[in-house]
Amino acid sequence: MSTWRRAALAMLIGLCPATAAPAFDALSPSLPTNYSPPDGDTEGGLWMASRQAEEEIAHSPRRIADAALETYLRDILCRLAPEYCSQIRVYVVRTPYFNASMMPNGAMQVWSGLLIRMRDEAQLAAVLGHEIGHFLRRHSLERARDLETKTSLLTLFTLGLGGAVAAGGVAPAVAQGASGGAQLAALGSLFAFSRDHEAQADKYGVQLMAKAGYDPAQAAAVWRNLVDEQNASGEKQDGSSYFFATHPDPASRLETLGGYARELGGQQTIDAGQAHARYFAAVGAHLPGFFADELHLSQPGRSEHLFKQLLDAKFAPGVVNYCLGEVSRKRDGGKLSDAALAYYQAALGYPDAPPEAHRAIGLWKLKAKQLDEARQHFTAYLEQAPQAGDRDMIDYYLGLTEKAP
Amino acid sequence: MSRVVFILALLLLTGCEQYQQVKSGRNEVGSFSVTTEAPIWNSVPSGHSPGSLPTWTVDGVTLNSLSFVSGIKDGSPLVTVHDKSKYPVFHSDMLPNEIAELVQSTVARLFTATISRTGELKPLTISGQPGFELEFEFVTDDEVIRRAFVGGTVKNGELQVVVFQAPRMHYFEKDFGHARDLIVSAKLP
Repeated sequence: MSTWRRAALAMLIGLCPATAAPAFDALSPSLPTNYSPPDGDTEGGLWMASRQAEEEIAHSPRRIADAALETYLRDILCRLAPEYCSQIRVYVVRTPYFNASMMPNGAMQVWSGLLIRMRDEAQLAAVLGHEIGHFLRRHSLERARDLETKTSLLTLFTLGLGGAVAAGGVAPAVAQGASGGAQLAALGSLFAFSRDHEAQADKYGVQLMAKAGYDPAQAAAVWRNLVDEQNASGEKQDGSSYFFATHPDPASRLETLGGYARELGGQQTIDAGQAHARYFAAVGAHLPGFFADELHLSQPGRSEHLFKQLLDAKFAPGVVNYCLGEVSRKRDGGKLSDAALAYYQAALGYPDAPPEAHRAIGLWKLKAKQLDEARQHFTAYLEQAPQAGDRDMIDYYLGLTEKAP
Repeated sequence: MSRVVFILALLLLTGCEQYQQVKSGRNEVGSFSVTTEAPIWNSVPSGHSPGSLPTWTVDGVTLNSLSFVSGIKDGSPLVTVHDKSKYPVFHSDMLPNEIAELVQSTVARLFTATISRTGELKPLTISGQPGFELEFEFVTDDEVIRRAFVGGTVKNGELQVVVFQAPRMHYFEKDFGHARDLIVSAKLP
């Protein structure tokens, strides 16, 4: 930059202090610590329903009863909101979609599809921070009270128009249109209210993660990853969903989250390398199962994007390369594909390669009638996975490789 | 006259939508010819069966179902659904491992389920054809762990599969013997 331009810029900054980054207007909790609501009122009812839901989650066959993983997630939550640590419980649920939610009583569920979409602990802290933001601001209670009010208003409005039609004051078609419009508007305002909560939880989440020492820029990164994945999926957004969407629109959300990060930046004290290692140690053992669930969804565009991102992040490269081979094979309609074979072979170059990579190559070679190679890979598979559930079938394939001339 | 035709048509349609007991002995379902020893099965109206597949049940489809997937051609999904693009498709050169995966992915999507145990895959001869048997478990939206037993083969390039599924607790074991005998002894043209 030239001296003149630098001077002009300095002058502009000096003349226009308003152009500097605005100070972050921090949020504070509305939930008292160690709080428990009285029975009988709206909040007491919410907590009772939460306890029942928590009981169901705790005993769900989808729950991953891994105490170490739950403790790891709870430690992050306690780092984000230390004053509320004793009120928080975490349950990991095996469901292959991106979701986490916190109930008013402090019980949080984290879905497995979320865990495979995080690149490191900071991104996980961003999502958990968002959820704890809802908790600390008692959004469930506000929403329940708002719903109570709006449901009453909606009923009154519908009844009022019904009365007008009965009295012959309004043409029925007009009344129907007005009533329908009013209902849509009321529903829209219900969800708009929720969008306000989502925006507030976004802000609170970034605030909490920055205070805990995480890189606040990772909050926007989570959302950007999701938008990229959606775009890669080739699936069209439902045009009607925006009206009912409970989250702010992606572009403005990215911009807002990025703005918060700039206002709060420069406080990162958590070692990113150690955090990544902690994250991988907690989640790593579950990855093959979580990835298998993703593959069962039969959404090759989305899955390929996800696994390529994980590969770029050097996340379990043996397993991820194998999964990319599986995605590639399925995308090619199960046909023999050089791209799939290349991924399987790449997987075998890493110590975490799953035995299934050998099986996949074995199947490929058997179809291509390259029987010696098929035999080698099937044999390697059975050596590495002697308890495999398909052992008898692999033995059958081995028989086929021997019978041929 | 037209009123009589209307009533007859209505009766016919109503008849189509009823559960009907399956008689003992040999029965034709899709491409399969199967033998039932005991009169325990009921055929399910197509509108009530998973994936609109020809399906039998003992206690109702939420408690057990025996679905016949027959004559699936290269490039087709296993089920008849509105949005076929969401379902993986069969290819006539698939090996049993790939068909097992195809069946599990179809079940996962059809029942909005998570496959909780991949289970066992073994060779099985069906109607003189080399085929496979597969057992696995899945968890559905209602938080019930279900177990499935599948027998299948590829004949003349078409996939022929029978799927028995029921909650793992009590219901699977209760009728598994009947279902397995029926699947193993199934005949194909």
